[in-house]
Amino acid sequence: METKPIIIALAGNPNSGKTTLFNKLTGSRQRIGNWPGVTIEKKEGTVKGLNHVTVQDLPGIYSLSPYTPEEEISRNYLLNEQPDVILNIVDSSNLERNLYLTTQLLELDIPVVVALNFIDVSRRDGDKIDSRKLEKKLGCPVIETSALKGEGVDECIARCISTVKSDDKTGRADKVAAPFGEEIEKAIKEIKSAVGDVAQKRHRWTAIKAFERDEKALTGLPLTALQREMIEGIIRRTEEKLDDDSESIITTERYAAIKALTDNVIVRAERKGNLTRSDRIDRIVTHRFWAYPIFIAVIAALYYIAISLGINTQDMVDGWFGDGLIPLVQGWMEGLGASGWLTGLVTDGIIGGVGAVLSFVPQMIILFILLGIMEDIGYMARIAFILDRLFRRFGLSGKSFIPMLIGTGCSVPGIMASRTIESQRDRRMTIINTPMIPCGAKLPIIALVAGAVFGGAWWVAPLAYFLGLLAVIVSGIILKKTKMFYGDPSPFVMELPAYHVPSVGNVARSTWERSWSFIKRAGTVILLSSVVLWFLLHFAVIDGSLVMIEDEMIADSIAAKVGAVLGHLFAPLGFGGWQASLATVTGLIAKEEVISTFGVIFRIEDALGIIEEGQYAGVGAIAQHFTQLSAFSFMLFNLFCPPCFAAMGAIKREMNSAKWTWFAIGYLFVFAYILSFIVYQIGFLFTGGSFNVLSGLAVALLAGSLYLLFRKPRAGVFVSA
Amino acid sequence: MRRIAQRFRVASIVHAHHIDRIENEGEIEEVLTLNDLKVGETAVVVRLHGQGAVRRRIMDMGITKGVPVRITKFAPLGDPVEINVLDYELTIRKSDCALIEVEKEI
Repeated sequence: METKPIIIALAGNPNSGKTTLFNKLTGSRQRIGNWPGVTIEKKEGTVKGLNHVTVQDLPGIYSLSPYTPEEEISRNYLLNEQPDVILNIVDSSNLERNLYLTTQLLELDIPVVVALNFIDVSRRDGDKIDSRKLEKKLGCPVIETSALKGEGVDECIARCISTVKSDDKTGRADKVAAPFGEEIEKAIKEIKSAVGDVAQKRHRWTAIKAFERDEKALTGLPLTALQREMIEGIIRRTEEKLDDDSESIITTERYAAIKALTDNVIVRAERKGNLTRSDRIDRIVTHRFWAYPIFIAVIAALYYIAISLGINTQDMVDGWFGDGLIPLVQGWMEGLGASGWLTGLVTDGIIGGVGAVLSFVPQMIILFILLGIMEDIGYMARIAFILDRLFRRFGLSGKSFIPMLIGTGCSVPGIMASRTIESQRDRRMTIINTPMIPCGAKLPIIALVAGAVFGGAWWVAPLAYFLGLLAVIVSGIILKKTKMFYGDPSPFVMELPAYHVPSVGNVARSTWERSWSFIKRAGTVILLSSVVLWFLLHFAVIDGSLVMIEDEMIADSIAAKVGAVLGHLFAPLGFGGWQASLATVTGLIAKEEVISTFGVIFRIEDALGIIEEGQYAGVGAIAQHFTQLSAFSFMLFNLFCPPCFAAMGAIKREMNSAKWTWFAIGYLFVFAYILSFIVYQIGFLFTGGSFNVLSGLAVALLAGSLYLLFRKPRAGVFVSA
Repeated sequence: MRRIAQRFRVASIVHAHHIDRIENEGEIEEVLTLNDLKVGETAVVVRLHGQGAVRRRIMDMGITKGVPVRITKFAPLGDPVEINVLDYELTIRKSDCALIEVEKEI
């Protein structure tokens, strides 16, 4: 038996069905980790029945000239890790652009097997593709597949393995699948000999990269000054002759060569009236007038379904913990003779704390399923298309909306979704602003203020979301005008994929990955913090010794002392009492903890559950702690202040820089503090307070904020309307 | 190659700092760009101005010399633009369209 391990790298364009194929190949035998140095997910899996065959999934790429961080990963992997074979998935309905990558992969001196995917769609549309002829021309195996239907999947694996074993060199090294024009081939040949033996492998690839002046690809290649001069001379000569720059020459020639290659291979059917099904849908969905009403209707429906279904499931999970697990564990522990404090720690601290977080999971899952369907259909790309113009005014790109949409569920997957944004500046801006959108866990805070303090006023919750959106806009405009973010508008180059029926597998997987990033924190940071918090709330330092205290004496607890110290910080915002200060700080563990902490302080059993059910009379004790103004200020601060630890962790991973992480967290704190300060102090004046130093400061801060918002961008800076 | 329509474009000046390769130095060249086309019109790419990663990306996506492109539609607020190239739909901003020199075929 042959057991030598084989590594298959799965590469292809985005939207070519790569994820579906990967799932079909590996099923549940997947391992998910991170690429070294970055936190882009690294997925690999073993093939069913063939434990020695590993499939390495690579982020989707259009070319081997990387543009986004994800694309850089793919290129570096292919260049440095030397997989045994590349399985290149190609969208048969978009052959030319997909083959642009294929021809580059063929230059890497690694065997390539092409999976001609969506072949069923091409057949349905009446396109005729001669895959045998394509195979001959490319010089590598070509297999017709339909990943969704499972067609050709086994054959892909079989051909990958046989290609590795037979060590078939056809199509590599000597034979060039898509040769360029005469002039360029001559130049490349000359560069090849100029480079000489320095490049031991990938000779042609190295020569082409040298011709393109791709410094990144050539690092590590010890070229002498003389060699460089020679190469530069060859490039200059060719550029002059063809009246174009070398990069442009290569891309143009590559596409021209592909055109020649596909001319005899594919016969496209005549499109009826020039309109595909996608075009017809797009006519309505991105229509000049109807685009926005449709968009608003879709989003409204999305949240209506998620929230109405979510409430029922939430009660169910609450029931499991509150009525089922807690009494069960309590009885069991008491039966074993465990001491009272230990039972309290486990039932109230651990199960209660973690359970509060988990009760949000069902609602989150429903939201993520719906968002996953929208993504898989192709509507998300349309949202980016219709919103780009609007978002650009706030220094964001159309693609920034998607992280924020996901952020309404949980900021962690929202922040992670910013990866698809190419420009680093836009990505940073999106990461900083996404936590301002109220996430699912902030809803109880809004509900408490709306229900218990404002007597169930209907307008508080919509206002909170509206303020979230407004905060993103204001913050975007302010940041855009600072030194860190000024400059040209960043690019927006995006494929609008054809609409297609969503696949259950893809939606399930994206839902699972996003929900898991939320659930995972329940078992780690929240578990630990709940234990610490329980101790701080139930112990006090009395006469120099640590003693456990009764619930009635909670005002003497260590936590209360900490809260009292922090109260000085929050007093100018209107909630300087130790209770509200402590609740705000525990909100850093998880935003649900804000309400849970109030519950413990005011001895309200299951405060979160009471608020979710809308029984606001039960939490009156919390409401009495606030005036309407201070409650509103408290809500504002908690909506916009730095997010929970899990989201901070996500910021740190995505920023991949300590400086930017601290900037984001510090910025959010300052933004929330100043906003609450202005609202409370100026509101205080309007409700009969007298003018004092703090109100003067608030007016000055308001003026300063308005200046930052409306000032002219720095001179000489180009800003597109 | 003959240039059929040559017009003076304000857009090209606004974005002039992008363009480092304007021929006939000192003079403003009158060229037809993708921005001059109306919805449904087809033209052939002549040259890509500008520089750097975005230009490379646009070329990688199939907008190269000699390739026909068709304006499919404008986004509801007039920007970005949806372009049909190589039988698929690509969207780019008007500011980048201004860097794509084209000529209409007759």
